[in-house]
Amino acid sequence: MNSMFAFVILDLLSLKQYRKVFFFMPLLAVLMSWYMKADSIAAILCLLCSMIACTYLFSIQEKNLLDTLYCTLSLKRSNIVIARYLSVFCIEMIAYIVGLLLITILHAFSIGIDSFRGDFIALNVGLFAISFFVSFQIPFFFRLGYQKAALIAYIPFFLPMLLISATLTLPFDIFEFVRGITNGFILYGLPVIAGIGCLGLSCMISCRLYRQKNL
Amino acid sequence: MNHTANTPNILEVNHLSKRLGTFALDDVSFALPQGFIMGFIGENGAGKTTTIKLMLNMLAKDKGEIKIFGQEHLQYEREIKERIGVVMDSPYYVDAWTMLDIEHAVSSFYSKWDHSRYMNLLEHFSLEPKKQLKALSRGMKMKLMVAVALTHDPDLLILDEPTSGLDAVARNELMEILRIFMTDERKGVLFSTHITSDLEKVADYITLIHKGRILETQTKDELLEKYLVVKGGLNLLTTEQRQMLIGYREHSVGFDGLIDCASLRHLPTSIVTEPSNFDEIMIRFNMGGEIDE
Repeated sequence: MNSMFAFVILDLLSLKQYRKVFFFMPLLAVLMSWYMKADSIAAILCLLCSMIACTYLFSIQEKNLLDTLYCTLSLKRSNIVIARYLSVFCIEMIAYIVGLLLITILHAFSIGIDSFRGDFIALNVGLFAISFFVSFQIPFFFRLGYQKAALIAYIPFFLPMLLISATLTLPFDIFEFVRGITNGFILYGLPVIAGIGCLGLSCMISCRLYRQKNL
Repeated sequence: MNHTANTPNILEVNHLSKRLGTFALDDVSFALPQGFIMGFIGENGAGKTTTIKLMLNMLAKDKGEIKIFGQEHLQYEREIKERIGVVMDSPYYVDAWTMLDIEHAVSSFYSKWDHSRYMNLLEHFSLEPKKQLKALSRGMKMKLMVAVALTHDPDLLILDEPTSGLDAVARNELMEILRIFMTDERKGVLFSTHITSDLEKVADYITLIHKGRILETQTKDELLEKYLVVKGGLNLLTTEQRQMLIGYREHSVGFDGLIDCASLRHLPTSIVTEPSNFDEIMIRFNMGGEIDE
């Protein structure tokens, strides 16, 4: 278990070169929310940023031949995969917490027109969406490598996300609709649990794929 | 396959096979006894890196067995990797990392990581701890990898072309470090290289691989004594005798080639013989005409 946490630290260290970009993103998110008068934009941008960070892990891995490094460390292949999913989960959680802080602050200053509850649901459903997309992408990255898998795993899902986030009221309308037909409280926890479920399933597939890969 | 009766093997490869496209590693077997340095030589594409990648589980073997410290390498992968230091032929750290970042990234994987030893090695190799990897030359990157490989006090060093990109002074420094490393008789080194002059200084055993097959695996002195370079006039040899030579070559005034000493008695006594060296052996085998074993 210790070596898996050590791997998470290694993963997060590999993103060091982009730290300025990641620190700048919340500021950009606030500005966009302020400009568009929609607090949920801040949360969605934070989550999108986490999705990019997750794919950067694979891009950096391939560019710097980190597969070789991983094979010299005291880790089994399956440990590497599980630890990478832990890294992804950590990045998502950081984005989630930053997103939550941002919508709280934005509401405190009454910048947006949406209710806090709606934005919170948007954040949770956004987390599920990101987890779902990342869960789809990662097995491709493990099997084919970042370059080969980018077209399959990245662009087709990134574009719809941009479109959804650009259509300001659509996420809010969807969440309100779902909230109307279900108990609203289910929406708080369920997307997060479903997102973790997706990552777990994806992790099992990736373990199998990466074990068989010739590096 | 024990080379010395009382010394346990630190590394043992038995009947290892792997097919990769048109290349095949075929029934590779050799053993490195504890306390020795083994040079692993062969031309480019002979299968040295493939064999090392199989040891590190970077490739899945088709057949065969690899034992490191007497343990099956996949079953005890984590325990084994904690005790080995690896240097591959290309750097494999993030370009934006400094030497200190590298320490933060890898030190947690090793219970015996020694910060002061790492700093000493960086100083020894004239590496600035706060310098980024991308600012280093290839030679400096190789030195850094050697420093990382040595810092957790490994029992086995696996070096894949560690001297490529190093100048003569740095290569000599590395040989000196290996000599110091080997003062502890419980350790071992597998040293893959095509710069065979390095091996003449430090290697105890030599394993020669050619086109995915092991041709020789024995002590350095035995190997050098086994093969001789032979020279003579063009009409001195019969066709059958020429076929005994490895890497037979004709030129304007005569011929030359490599011969197994055991076959020397079949050649005329007037033939000129000279001692061989690792380069000569490697080149002649690569030229062809080897004797099937």
